[in-house]
Amino acid sequence: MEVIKNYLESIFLAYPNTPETQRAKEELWAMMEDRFGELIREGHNENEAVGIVLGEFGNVEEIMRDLGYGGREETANFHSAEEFSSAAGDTGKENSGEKTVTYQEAVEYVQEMEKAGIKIGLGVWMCVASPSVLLLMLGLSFSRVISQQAAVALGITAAAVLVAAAVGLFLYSGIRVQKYGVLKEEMFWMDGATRQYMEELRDAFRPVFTAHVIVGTVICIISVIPILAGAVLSGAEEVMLPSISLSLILAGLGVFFFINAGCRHSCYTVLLQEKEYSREKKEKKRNGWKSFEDTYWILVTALYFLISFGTRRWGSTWILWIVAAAFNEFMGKRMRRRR
Amino acid sequence: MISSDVIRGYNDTIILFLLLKSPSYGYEISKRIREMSGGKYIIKETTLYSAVTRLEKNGCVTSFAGNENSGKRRTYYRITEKGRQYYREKCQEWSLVKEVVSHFIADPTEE
Repeated sequence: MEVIKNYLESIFLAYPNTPETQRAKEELWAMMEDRFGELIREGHNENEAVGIVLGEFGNVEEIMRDLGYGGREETANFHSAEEFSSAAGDTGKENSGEKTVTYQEAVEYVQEMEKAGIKIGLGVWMCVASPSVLLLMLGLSFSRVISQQAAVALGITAAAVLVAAAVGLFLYSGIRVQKYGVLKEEMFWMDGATRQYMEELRDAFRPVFTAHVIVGTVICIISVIPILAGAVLSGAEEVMLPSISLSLILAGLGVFFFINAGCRHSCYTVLLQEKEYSREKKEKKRNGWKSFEDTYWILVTALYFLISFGTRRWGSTWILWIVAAAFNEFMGKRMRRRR
Repeated sequence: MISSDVIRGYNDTIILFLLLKSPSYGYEISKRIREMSGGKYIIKETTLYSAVTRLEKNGCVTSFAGNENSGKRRTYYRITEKGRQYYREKCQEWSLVKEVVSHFIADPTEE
């Protein structure tokens, strides 16, 4: 309900603070609270209830017009129709027939990506570190602690177990997140309150993201130390192998932080339809531009190999790539101009 | 599902009907609309508030603060004599509209 309250406040900020607008805000809030309570009593979970209440809200504009504060002059400030209508509090989608992402779906997506970030990060760490047990064991075998056969056996088993576990984690996360793949491909509509909440979550996450990147970078830099120390101090296998092992473990840990941060941050980019998931990019894909790109490069590659194997003039055929890239640019400009 | 544009002219009528017997408050009104329409019309909160505010300005309803047993302060709306009069007029208007428009509705069985 906090989300709804904050959203209500933010819409009303744009209008003058008079007794009438205050009364309107309180009445609307009272109605939404009652509706929310009823939905919970009917058995909906919180997120579902919030989504439904938001969907039944409507557009504050019609109230404001009756009160005499018509029209929003600051339309120039909005970058898209979606932004404009969400700012006006238009939480009832009566629009282009796009897919709607509900409050509940958005919240669940964020939660799933949080979990996935950790699991995928762990999986990658395990993969990077998988040779490290083998290396450690081999190092010990050089110090005569264990036999070489035992070292190899233990090391390879450990590596296999780690990789298998990592793959398990990847598959599990992949399945959980699969149903959200459509968010990356298709354009969708999200009501203003959910949108605002996602932006708040993203801003709250930013410092965490920065911290992750810093910690990851530092650990990666530190990961070089064991190898250097080992080489400088001794250079013998019984020292070098364990130190490489330690370096790998540390490097993997650093990568974990990068991946975890990246995963969690990407879900906001997707939900807010920014950058590579923006509506323009999706529009382009829909108009077939993307598939042209894909087949184009496959054709170019095939052509390259055909000509090169045919004429054996590998020293010159690389020029084909330059020509292909230039042609691609030219075609791209033509398609853009046509629109 | 009826969209709010289609039914816009009769929001006032619907609300006044619900106030004929006794006063009511915002949420209860929207709930009864939902129930009595069998879920086919869910009035938006902003539309409802807009409508009652307009009715109050026109003198068709008056508002007063009331206390539920839960102690929540709610705004109750009560229909006035003018409101009852307006309601009767709208009912007549609806009969007329229904009759006129039905002349132009193609009977699907007659194709």
